[in-house]
Amino acid sequence: MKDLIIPSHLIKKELKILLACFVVAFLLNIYAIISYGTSWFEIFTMFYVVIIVTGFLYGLTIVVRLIVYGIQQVIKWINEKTGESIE
Amino acid sequence: MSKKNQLSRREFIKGLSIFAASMPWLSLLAKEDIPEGRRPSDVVRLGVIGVGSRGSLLMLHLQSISNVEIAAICDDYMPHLNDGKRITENRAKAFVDYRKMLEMKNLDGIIIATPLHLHAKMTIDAMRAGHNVFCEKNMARYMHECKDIVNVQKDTGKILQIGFQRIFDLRYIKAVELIRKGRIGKVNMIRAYWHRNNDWRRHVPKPELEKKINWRLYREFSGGLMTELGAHQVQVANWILDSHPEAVGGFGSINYWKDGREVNDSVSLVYNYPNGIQVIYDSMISNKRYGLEEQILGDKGTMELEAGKIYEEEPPPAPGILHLINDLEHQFFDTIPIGGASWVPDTPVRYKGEYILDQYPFPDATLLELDAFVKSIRANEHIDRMIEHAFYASVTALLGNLAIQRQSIVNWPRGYSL
Repeated sequence: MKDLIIPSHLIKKELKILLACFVVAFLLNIYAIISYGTSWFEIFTMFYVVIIVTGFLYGLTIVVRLIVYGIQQVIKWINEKTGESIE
Repeated sequence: MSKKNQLSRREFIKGLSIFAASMPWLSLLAKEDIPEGRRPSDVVRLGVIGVGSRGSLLMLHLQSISNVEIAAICDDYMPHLNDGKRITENRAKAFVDYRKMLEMKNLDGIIIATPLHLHAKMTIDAMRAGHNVFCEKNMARYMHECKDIVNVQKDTGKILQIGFQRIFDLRYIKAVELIRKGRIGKVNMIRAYWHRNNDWRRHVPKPELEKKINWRLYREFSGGLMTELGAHQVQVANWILDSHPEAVGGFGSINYWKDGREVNDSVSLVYNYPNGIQVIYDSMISNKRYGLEEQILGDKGTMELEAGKIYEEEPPPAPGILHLINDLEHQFFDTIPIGGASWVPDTPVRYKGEYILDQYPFPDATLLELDAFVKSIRANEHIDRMIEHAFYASVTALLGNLAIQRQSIVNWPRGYSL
């Protein structure tokens, strides 16, 4: 079986995205506490929800990136095809 | 009873000490070890009359209370008496005639767990013979017998306790404390029910024993659902409303178990209490979907005492982030109404509520009531409101039966206030 090698810059990139998702989820919790006037203890008690939301957002970024990648590949393929026909 | 259990119960009850005036039995339950009694060994010696299913259960509880000895047992049905002997490992003196047992001078108290029609005579005979008495509920088969029992207790000065164990249930005690503090606002209605789905029969080895074993099914011996089940729940209603009803009306019928029984297998009653508060009660034995419950309905909340839960009328808000997620979900997935409904059905509020008491497991209320009886004997202390509770609850249950029998509204009888 072939070893799968993930370059360190990719790992760093994914960790940065994950951290960004966590920050967004954390800020969402703060926003919810302020806008619904609930207890500040929810920063701690709702931490598990923040983790779940982080996972959800990270999953969402994967889906979005896959779609963008797919579109890029399609455009690339079309460009290649068009270039061939001109020649 | 284990030391740890005793300690936590004592601490719990001490926290409720401000309610000692309305629940005087609490002070007895909270007492530190009561000083040594009259004998150096301080053993409380008890005699048990009626050692069938309920009597056996009481004996097993008594055996778990320290320094209690079941010194005598009595039953006129041999299989039960033999069961009783086995439970006491033949250490208790066995009797067939309870009057012989009452002649024993070295008993500190008598426990009565016989069929209902025998309660009054046995309780009165025991007190007149100089014994303290714990008798199972209902106090008696007929209202006038309840009054006779109270009068004899006053004459003899003996300790008398009737088996309404919910008074000792820590969840109920806590619930009553919260109600008195106004947690559910003004109580305007109580709904209570007890539903089972069985024929209420026990195996009869010989046909001539039918009425002896299945005494619950015959009016001569039993008040049926109201005295066997309902009495517990109307006691709770009286306790919470701190009153007895002014009137009652209702219906009852044998509509399912048509097997020769005489007591109703289905009853529905409405009790009217002072200030127009109603207690709606029903019991049946042909459907068990809803089991048993006492629902206390106040303007600020509801309590379900059997479930041990409290529900605010305005439920506490959900955590902010869950609220936000819920709102976002609705924005994305809800349909957009074009023409709204002119009427929205008042379906039940879906809210899980909170527990009245977090402490778990709860000590068994039957064990606590027996423990209280033993403590009463050791301390030689009466708990006056205990008799009041038992009397009013018993009469309330019997009055319901009377209303059903007469098919009319029956007022609380004159001369039945203590």
